[in-house]
Amino acid sequence: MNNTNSETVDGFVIYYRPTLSKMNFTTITIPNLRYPLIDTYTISSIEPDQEYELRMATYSNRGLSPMSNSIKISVPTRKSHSKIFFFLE
Amino acid sequence: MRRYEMLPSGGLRIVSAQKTDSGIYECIASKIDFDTNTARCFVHIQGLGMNIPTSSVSVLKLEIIDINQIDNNAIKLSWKINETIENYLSSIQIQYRLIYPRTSWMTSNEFYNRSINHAIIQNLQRDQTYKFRLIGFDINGKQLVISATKRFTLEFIKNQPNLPLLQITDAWITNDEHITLKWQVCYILNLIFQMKNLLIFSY
Repeated sequence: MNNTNSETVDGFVIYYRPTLSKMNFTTITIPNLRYPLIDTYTISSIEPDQEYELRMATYSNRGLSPMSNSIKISVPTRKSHSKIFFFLE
Repeated sequence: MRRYEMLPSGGLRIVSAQKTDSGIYECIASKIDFDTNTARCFVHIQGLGMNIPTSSVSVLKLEIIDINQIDNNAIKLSWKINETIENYLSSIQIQYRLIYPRTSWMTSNEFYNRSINHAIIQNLQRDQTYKFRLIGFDINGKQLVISATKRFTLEFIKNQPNLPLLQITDAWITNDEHITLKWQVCYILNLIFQMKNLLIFSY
């Protein structure tokens, strides 16, 4: 089964957007060039103080897989903000 | 309940028409100081073959709520048992037939007890439309209810075999305020085989 894994996954696509926005999902394509398959990724271009909605799919020469489950995660307010707040107090 | 109404055009509409509504209908048109005129016609109500030998009330007691295709030759059928018959219902059997060419009802071998609300039906033909219905039996094996039928067409699933399915298992915020995702890849077909095996072993 592990063999079939690497044969049928050429990479991953991550779809994300702020939950409350009606914007299109931003997509990140991550080619999978190694085995075993990569299973983590860090998204750096996000805004603080927002809740994000994320889902994924795999792709291969057979096309895109069905969508993964959708998850939501809240990004806290930037730490620098609390510093200013502290200063003002 | 009244099943007919007059239309502004002068027409007559009969809803939920039944065979007993067949017969001679006469239209009488009259106007004061003028003559009266009549016209007659014979209305023959034909069944569309959709009537099932049970009252419409009992149809709702057992209901097919969903049909999903799980591979090229198999579907998953989900149903709901109404509370009013839950205590009387002992087992359920599935019946299905092809629409074209029309075949007689085929009955699944398995009996599903009332705690089960779905089943997998295999060895169906791709690109064919089937009708499904459920038969509910009481504890003595006597037919209690029959569900309404539901149609389903099996389509060709392109990505077979080994269609990967992705599950995001974890997500967290890193110290530098980025989102990190962790995921798992599994295969639908393997899952289906596991499900089938489970079904085989439990009966």
